[in-house]
Amino acid sequence: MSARERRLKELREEIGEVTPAEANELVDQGGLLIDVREPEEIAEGSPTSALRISRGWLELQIERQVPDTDRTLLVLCSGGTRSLFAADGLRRLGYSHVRSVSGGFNRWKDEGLAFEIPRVLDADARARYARQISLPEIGAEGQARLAGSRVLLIGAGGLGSPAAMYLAAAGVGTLGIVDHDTVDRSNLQRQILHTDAAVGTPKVESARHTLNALNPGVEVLGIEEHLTSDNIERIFEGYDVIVDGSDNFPTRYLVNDACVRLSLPNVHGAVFRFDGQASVFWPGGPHGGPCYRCLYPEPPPPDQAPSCAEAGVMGVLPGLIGTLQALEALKILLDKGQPLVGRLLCFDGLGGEFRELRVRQDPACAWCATDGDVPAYIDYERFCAAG
Amino acid sequence: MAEVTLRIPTPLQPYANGNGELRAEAGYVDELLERIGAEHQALVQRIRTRDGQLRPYVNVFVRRTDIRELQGLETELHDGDEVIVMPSVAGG
Repeated sequence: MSARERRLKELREEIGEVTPAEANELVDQGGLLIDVREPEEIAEGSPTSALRISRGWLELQIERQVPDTDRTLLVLCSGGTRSLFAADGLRRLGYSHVRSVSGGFNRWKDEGLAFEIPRVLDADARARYARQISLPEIGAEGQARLAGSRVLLIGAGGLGSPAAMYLAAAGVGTLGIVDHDTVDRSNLQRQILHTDAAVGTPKVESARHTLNALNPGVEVLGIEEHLTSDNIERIFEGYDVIVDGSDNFPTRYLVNDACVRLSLPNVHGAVFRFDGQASVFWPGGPHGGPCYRCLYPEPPPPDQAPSCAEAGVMGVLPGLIGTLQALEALKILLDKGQPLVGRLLCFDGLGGEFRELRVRQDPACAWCATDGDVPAYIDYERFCAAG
Repeated sequence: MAEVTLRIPTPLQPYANGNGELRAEAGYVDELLERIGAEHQALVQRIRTRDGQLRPYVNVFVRRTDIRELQGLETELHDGDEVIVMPSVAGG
């Protein structure tokens, strides 16, 4: 008997094996299946409920993913050999209920148990996103999740530019951009998606060009339309997150109202001169919280609503706030961390200070806090100055 | 009476002689606005209506909390409190 065979025999006796069917039952009772095969093998299929950590990363990543050392862990490889060594590694780390799945994924499939072909990353993606994949909060699974995600940016301006750049760089699979404007030279001081050569061209075209140069793997959908109550639900359809980088109150209220109706997270950002603010309005989400109308029930009258064009804005400000919006969108897509729900993060650029203000859901909000019919959309353009 | 600081954001600073903050003594938020309004009437008019209601596009925060969540304009002030006025802004 070779040393390998002798050791495997010992491990089988010490650790214990379960059949795939038994493992499946233990999962139903709260156990966790861990697929320790390599990414190329997992690309061919993996049990639907499995946590996927390849053997080489197992001891490094398991504690973050499974902090409870008393949880039943069922380790699976392709044939049931590597899983014995992996189970031994987990046992040495202090996990007390570890079993190896005999016959591995081959037998799992043969027994007709549920599996899926997971979204996997190719070699280019693994290299491009290496610094993100190495984050335990993201990993290959989170990166694949981003690749399958869709974010809609309202505006390719001061806020939308940095937000789109970072979302594209991070590997969000589809970015929709709503903007009906063309690039003006006065935009370039802050709207970093656009270059001098793009002056006079549609912003959505310029944005697509820049984003695809940065990351050709991202699908950029330009929507060269003016958002109205008639088209907003059609345009929002199929997106996971809305990033509001609009520059006027009518659009902001329309975006809010549609997000409330469709239970979409509204990642809010706004800037004025040297000040900026960011928040997440998502009353229909897992954290509850307010909508934009809970904070500001109505837009100001035109004479009290100066736009950036009139008031000016320091170009770095939308850079900071738009970047925060990108981060919030990524956190929501990955379901990691605490989104800025119920919190308005305000930045005073001249004072160099961040302040966090608490924002509650207004129990009388007609849009998000009542069980009755939500009011109809309002096109404020008719009586409110656009920015 | 508490000694408090009213923080004024950029959009409203032109109505406070360019000040980013004003200090005053007041026991309650409405009293603070009265006192500030004696000298900066245009500023306070942008925060509340003639009949004394907060405008729907301006919020006031005391101790980082929206006063609507506290006692509204009757929210009591303590020494050293920071009262923050936050109007809606739409720049993007």
